[in-house]
Amino acid sequence: MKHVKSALLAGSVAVAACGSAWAGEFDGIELKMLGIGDTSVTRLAPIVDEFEELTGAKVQIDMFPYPGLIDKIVIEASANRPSYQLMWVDSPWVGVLGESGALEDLTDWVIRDAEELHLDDIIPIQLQENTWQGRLIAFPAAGMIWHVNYRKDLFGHPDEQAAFKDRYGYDLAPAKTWQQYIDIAEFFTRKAGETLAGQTLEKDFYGNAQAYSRVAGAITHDFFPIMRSFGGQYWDDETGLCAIDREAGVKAAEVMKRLVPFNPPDYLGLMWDIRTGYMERGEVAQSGYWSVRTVRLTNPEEAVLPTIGEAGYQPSPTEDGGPMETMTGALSFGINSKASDREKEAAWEFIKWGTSRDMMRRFANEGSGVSQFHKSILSDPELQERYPYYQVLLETQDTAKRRIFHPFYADVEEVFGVELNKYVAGETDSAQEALTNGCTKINTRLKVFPLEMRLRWIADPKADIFN
Amino acid sequence: MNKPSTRQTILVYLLLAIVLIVFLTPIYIIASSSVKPTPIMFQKPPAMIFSPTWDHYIALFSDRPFARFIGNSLIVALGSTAFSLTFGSLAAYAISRIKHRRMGDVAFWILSMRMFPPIAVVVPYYIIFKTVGLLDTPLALIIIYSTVNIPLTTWLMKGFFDEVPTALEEAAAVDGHGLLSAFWHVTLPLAAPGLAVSAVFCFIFSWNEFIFALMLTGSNAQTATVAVMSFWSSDAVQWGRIMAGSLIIVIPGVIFVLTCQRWLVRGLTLGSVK
Repeated sequence: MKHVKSALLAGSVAVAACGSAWAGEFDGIELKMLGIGDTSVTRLAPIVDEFEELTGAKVQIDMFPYPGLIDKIVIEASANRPSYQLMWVDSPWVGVLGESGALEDLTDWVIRDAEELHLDDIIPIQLQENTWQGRLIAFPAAGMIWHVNYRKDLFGHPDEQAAFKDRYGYDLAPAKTWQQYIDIAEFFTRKAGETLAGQTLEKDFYGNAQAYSRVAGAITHDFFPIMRSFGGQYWDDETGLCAIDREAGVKAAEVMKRLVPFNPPDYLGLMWDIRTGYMERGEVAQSGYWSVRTVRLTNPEEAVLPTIGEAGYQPSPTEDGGPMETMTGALSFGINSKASDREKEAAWEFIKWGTSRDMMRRFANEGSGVSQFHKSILSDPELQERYPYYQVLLETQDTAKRRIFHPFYADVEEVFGVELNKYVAGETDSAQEALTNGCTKINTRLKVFPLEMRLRWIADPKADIFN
Repeated sequence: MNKPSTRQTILVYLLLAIVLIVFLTPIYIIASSSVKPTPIMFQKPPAMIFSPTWDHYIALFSDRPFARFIGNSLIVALGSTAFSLTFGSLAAYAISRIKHRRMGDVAFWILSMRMFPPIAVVVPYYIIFKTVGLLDTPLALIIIYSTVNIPLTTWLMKGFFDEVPTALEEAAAVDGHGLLSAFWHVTLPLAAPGLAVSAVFCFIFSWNEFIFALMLTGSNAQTATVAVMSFWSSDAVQWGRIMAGSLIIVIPGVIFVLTCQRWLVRGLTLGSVK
C-alpha cells in the first residue's frame, strides 16, 4: 500500500511538473546546485533524474559544508559564466546575498506562476523570510519554526504532577511563560539515585538543554527567540543601529542565565545537535530548537526517546503567556543572477518542481524530516497523527517573526555569541554589560555607513508578491 | 652507564603511558565514534560498551562518492608534492651554490610566498582559474598548493644542500659529470633525508588543506577534507559520518609518513650538530 501511495504521489508530481514544462523543453541545459547536506537537499538529490525526464534539463547537486558556503556562493555569483546556477540559501543570508545582487529576483515569476505554486497555501512568513527590500530572492524548500520539545510522558505522570503542584502551587503543564519554564527546569533537575516518574535514576537528569556555546554563535540561536518573545528588536528603527541591549534583551539573557543550573554540566559547549541530542536521548525534560530536527523525536532509529518515553511539542513561552512571537526561518533555493536567461528559466522550473506541494507531501509520506511550509500539509489529519508537531508549527506561524537578515548578521552572531557566552560563564557581571559590549562593537562597524543605508538594511517591507 | 633502577624504569613507562594516552585518546574517540550508533553519540558519560554499527561507513560511501574524493585528495597531494620537490630542490640548489650578494633577498622573496593568508588570495585565484578553465580541477589545487610548498621545500632543501661539500661536485666534474648530472647523481642522493622531510610536510599540507579546496572545487575535484566537512549541514552535524571519514583520511597520511620514515629521522636531525 505504501509503495502504491508513493507511486501515485510520484505520478502526481510528474503530472504537476508536466503542466508547467513541456517534456524536453530544456534539452541540453545542465544545471548545478551549490548545495548542502541538509534534508531539504538530500531528499531531492537522489531523484533529480525525474526532473531530467520531465524537462530534459540535467541537474547535479553538489554538497558542501555549511561553514563557508555563503562565501562560496558570493564568490560564485561574482563570476560571469557561473559554474552553479542554483544556490541553497539559509534565510539569514538574504541580506548579504540581496545586497550583493548574487541572487535573481524571483518576484515576477512567482506572481506569474502563483496558481501553479499554490501560493495561497504557503505560509506567508516563509515567503517573507526570503525577501530583500520586498523582493523575493529565494523560494522556500523547508520552513523552520522555533518551538519547545518536552517529555510528555513525564509531564503526564501522576507522581510528578502531584509533586510539582505541592512545590509550585500550580499544575504541571508545558510552560506558557518563562517563569513556568524555569520552574519546570528546576523541578525536573535531579541527581542519580533520585526518583523520576517512579523510577530510580541511574544518572543525572536535567530540566533543560540550552545552547550556550559561542562556537558559530550557537548561543544566539537560543537567545534571539527568547528576546523576541519579550518583544525585543535587533535594530533601532530611527538609527539602524543595534538595539539588542534594551530591556527585552536583558530579560532574555537573564532567563538564559537563570536556566544554567538546570542544564547539563557541559552547558558552555552545548550547540546544535550536541544540545538536541540530550532530548533525543530522553535525558532532559524540555528543550527548544528549530523544527528541522523535530522529526527525529518520532523515529526510534535516530533517537532513544521514542523507545523510553514520548515527546510533546508546544510553542515557545512568552513573558506573560500570551501568543508567542515565534522565530521562523527558511531553507530555500535561489538562482544565480549571473546564469544565462535559459539557465534561469530551467532553474526556476527545477525550484518549482523540487519545492512543489506534491513533492513536499511525497517527502512527508516517505518519512522525510523536511520541515513543511504548506498549510494543507501541516493541517492534514493523517500527517498530524504521524508527525504530532505539525500542529504546533501550524499554530505558531501567524505570530512568527523573521530571523535576523541584516547584511551584518554574521558579525552579530559572532559578537553576541562571545558576549552572551561570557555572561553565562560568569566572566561578565551583568546581562546589561554583556549586551552593551556587543552593541558597542556592532555599532562601531555600522556607523561608518550612512544612515540611509543602515535604515535600508533593516527595512522589511511586505513582499511584493502579496500586493 | 649504570642500568636504570626498577623505580626509574617504572617512571619512564608511566610517563610513556601518559604521553600515549594523551596522543591516542583523540584517535580512540574518532574510531569509537565512527562505529557508535547515532542516538548514543554524545551520551554522558560516553558509552564505552555498545553494539558497533558500520552504518556511518556505509552512508559515507553511499551518500557521497567518497572514494572519488579520496582519489582526488591523493592526486592533489601526490601531484603537489612531486611538483614542489622537483622545483623546490632545484631552486634550493641554485640558492645554495650561487654566490651573489642579492641571493638572500631572492631566498626571502621565495619564502614570502607563504606569508599570504589564503583567504586574501582565494578570490583572485578563483577568477584566474575560472578564466583559464581550471576551476574544479585537481590541477588548480596542485598549482596553488605548490605555491605554498615550493618555498617550504626550497628553504628546507637549502639547508641540506649547504651541508653537502662542494668538493664532491667538483670531483664529479672531474669524472665528467655536468652540473645537472652531478646534482642528480651526487648531491641529491646525499640530501635524500631533506627530500623525505620536505615530502612529508608537502603531502600533509596538501592532504589537509581546506579553504582553497572548499572555494575552488565542485563535485569533480572535491577533496576528502571538504567532503567530510560537508556532513556539517544547517540542521545537523552528522558526527558519525564525519568521524568515519576522518579515520579513513588519516590512513594515507600515516602510510606516506611511514614510507618516508627511514629517511625522516636522519633528515630531521641532520645539521643539528656541527
